[in-house]
Amino acid sequence: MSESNLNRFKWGLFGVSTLLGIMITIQFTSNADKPYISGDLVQTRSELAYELHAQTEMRTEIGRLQTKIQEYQDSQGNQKEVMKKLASELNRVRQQAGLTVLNGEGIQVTIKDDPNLFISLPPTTRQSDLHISDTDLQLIINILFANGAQGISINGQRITTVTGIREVPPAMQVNTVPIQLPYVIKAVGDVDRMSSALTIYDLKNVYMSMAKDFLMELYKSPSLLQVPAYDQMLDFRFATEDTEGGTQK
Amino acid sequence: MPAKDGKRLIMSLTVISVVLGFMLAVQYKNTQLTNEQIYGPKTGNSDLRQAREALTQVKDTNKDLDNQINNLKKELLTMEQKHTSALTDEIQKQLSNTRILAGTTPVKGTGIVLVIDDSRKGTQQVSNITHDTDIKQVVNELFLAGAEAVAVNGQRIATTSSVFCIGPTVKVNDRYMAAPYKIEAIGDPATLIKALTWEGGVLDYLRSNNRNLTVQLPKSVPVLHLPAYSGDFNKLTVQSSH
Repeated sequence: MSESNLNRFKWGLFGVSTLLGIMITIQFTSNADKPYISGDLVQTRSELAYELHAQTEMRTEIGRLQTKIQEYQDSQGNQKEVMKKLASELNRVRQQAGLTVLNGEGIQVTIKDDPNLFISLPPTTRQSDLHISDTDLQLIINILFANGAQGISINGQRITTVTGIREVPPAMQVNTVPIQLPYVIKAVGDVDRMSSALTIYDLKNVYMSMAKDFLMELYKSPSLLQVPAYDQMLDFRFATEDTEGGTQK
Repeated sequence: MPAKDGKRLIMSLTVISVVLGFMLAVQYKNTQLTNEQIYGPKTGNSDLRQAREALTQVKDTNKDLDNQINNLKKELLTMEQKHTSALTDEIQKQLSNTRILAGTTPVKGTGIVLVIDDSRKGTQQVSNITHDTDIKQVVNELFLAGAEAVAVNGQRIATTSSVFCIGPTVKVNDRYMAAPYKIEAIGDPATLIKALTWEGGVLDYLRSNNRNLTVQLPKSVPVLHLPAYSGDFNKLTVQSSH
């Protein structure tokens, strides 16, 4: 191979190598879109399913509201009819707010001290390890509402929108009413979902490590559970119903 | 260079190129395999893109429907008030209070607003992300301090509301939302702010070194407008009155 051919070969090789490098880079970068995680797809589809369900519910609600508005328009001047409609609406909202007794299929959870479990605990166990805090009870309530509970009470105190659970030693307060062990939580709603959720969270074993029994009793038709009504005075001083126009941000 | 040397050079280069190509291909396949082992099988970005596009569309529609519901509720309320007489005043008052308690009516009033976001410091460890328990704790604290209505990112807290972590997002009233979380509460601003900001209180904990969450301290707002709850109370069937 002559000197000039060799140089041409070297340059050719250099060119081809560079081109190869560019092609490989392009290939790699085009495949490295964004790190793709299959969990993203599951999460997105799950979110989509919930949004679609919400959409169905909202369309139903819109239909109900439109009917009610039409009914009001039709009953103009008829006080008796208006009174009847208000009473019917009040009945509906009282149930939604938790102001009425709720009967239905449900689950009852009882948490109580178990001296036998206490004996079996390791000697290093501190008193604070056995303590049930307000956040522990909040967690159970949250799990139940996230899994189909329509109404819940703890030791006879109905959980409403404005219910707070706070520990004020030595007692726990629900609706500012003091309660203490044993805690009896009644929840009316989807029995299977609620009991599965509590089982998945392994709460029985969690409470066992606190020397507490965590007993679940399922109530399925014809056996029904009763959740009491919220019985405190309603006095809203800051919030008023909003009739101002405009859309929510 | 003699022709023999030239041929040898070409042969060597060919062999080296083949080996190089082979190594690159093996490396690429190994990387793909490792990614699949870590993240699960690759089903194609187009599926994800399609799902996200559909989600965006449905969310936009739902936002419009949410607004429509709120406007209809306001219209209905105006009608009720217009038709109310001395005879129906008392029932109207009861109805109003009950709806506020249930969360089924849009409300307005003085209150506070605060924003909680994931940590901006360091790596995104589990403890540096806003969790359901954080939001739930703040909401619980607000109601204990006398809040009359609370909303998280526009979702009104109602009787059967739950706040739950699903992966990196939080679900409130079965609606997914991501950080930052804007919490609005109607009530006495001074009391609500005090309840959240006392030393050793819930916001102190969220901002502590363990958590490092970004918290915009609560601010008093003269008039807040909160939307109504638009869910189904976990499929609660309303019984007719007797």
